[in-house]
Amino acid sequence: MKVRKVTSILIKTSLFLLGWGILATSFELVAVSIIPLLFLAIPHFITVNVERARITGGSYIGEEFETEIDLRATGFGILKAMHKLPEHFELVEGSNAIATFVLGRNDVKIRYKAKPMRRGNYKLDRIVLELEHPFLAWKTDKELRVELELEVKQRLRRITRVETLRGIARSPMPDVDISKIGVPGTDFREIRDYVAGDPMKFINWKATARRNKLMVNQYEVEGKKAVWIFVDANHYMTFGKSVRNYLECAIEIANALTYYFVSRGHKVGLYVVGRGICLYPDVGKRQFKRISEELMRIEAGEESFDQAFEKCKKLLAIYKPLIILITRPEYSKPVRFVSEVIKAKIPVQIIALKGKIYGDEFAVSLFEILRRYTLKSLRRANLIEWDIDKPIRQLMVRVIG
Amino acid sequence: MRIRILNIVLAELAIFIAVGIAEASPLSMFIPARYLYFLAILPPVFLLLKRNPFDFPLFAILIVMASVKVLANSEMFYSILDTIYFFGFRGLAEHLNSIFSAYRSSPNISALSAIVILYVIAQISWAMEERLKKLGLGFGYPLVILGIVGFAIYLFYPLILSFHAYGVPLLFMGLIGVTSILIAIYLLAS
Repeated sequence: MKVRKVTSILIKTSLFLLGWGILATSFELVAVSIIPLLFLAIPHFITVNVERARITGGSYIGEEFETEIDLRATGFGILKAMHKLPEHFELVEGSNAIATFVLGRNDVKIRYKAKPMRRGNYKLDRIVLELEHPFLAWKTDKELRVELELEVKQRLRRITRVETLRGIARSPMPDVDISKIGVPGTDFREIRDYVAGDPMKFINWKATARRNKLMVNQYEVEGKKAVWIFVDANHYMTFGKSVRNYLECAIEIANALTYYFVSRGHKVGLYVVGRGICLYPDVGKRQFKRISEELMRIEAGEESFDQAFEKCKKLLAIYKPLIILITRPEYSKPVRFVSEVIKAKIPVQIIALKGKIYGDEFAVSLFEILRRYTLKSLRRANLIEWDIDKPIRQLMVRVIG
Repeated sequence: MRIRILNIVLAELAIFIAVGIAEASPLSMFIPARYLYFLAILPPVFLLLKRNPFDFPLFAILIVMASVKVLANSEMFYSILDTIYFFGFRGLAEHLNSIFSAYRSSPNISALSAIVILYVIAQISWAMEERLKKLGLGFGYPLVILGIVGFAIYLFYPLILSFHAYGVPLLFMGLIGVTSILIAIYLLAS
């Protein structure tokens, strides 16, 4: 409860009359000094209930959604209700706040259109209420809960074509390559030593007798090669506007690439550098959904690419996937990561994000030199620079389509 | 704008009541009542100065004017006169005593409460204008309710006071007064 200006005036008036009455030893003045306090004594009480709350639309960034909230207020006083929106939401039409004078029973409707500007799971469950005395003497704040949630995803950029990239690997892009692991097919590849777990039916008895040790036939496995996307989510990726920064751009690219490769039958995996989140490569729409949901939840953290490599190097050796790093190389410096990966004959693609650098001319030039130097040290990988302010569609055309 | 005009009307009404009381009080012996009507210029002047037409200084003047008659019944006032007398200003003390003694009658409490109610309504409506405009609400309902409450207090407050006449212990009244002061101090401090 806050003491308002009106309350203060009324109390001061009362004290003035009381003081004057005491000085003049006048019962009348003392009696009159009660009058301002009587105005304060007028009760105010408002009870508010949620009758209906609904949200339609707004599943993607920039997509409008419509909110309808019906409240029922009973009592006496001034009611101000505001449906609290997260900071990344932009009001398009109407207002998320409403004020009304309640006398008896009032139906209050909040109707507005807004659009989310950032991905994430948002709980829109707070209605902030300000209940004011009819003469503005008191104000009490309350909060009402409604069951409203909004899941905002990155809008998916559809990619139609992927070009073959040149690199040191024999076949860097997985479109033409086959998987290292998976269900064995009928195409014979080679004879190799038996390892525990190999099926008995694959034992080549003739070769075993000749070499005097267990040998098995190795068949080509079905399915296409795996792709492993490493999204950098370290704190330096969050520089820029909250709705459009390096991290948001990286997530958008990762989402689009995941969709592209999954829809073409590749196994796609995700590693969020900075949070240590790892999703092993898998196929199908379910995997896309898993990755997409994980991307939606990403927040900045702290982890180096070397640590990330240590965590998943065994899996990288098994899958031999195409690795796509989306990062700011001048900060992440994934030199050791890239050299280790290339040493293991795993193809790697770096999407180096760049944005506008603020500062004086000398500082900007110095930063650019350092950036160039880092990029030069990564020249063994296939490197693409991309400005985060440009539309992703153009990047996709250039990089893979 | 409506609120400003309303406040001017309220202020003028309060001036009219206060001057009416002053005319029938010892004050008229010192200042002719017709000069007191010049106070009516103050509300428009306050408005021109972008202040509330019924501001606190005007209210204080009106209350002092209206309570001069109260002094005629005040023990404190007569003790002051005694002090003046004691210090040798006998002529002045006797002159004042002769003026004020002639007005020894119970003062009109409803006139005093009318001035206070008008002032309170003016202050609340002035604060309301800004707030309700900000909230995008009309003044209709709140003003009507404010008027009704003010009128009800004006009508029924003398009845509440009449409890005093029916013998409510003065100690009890005093306790209520002290409690009110303590609450007021707490609220102002917060």
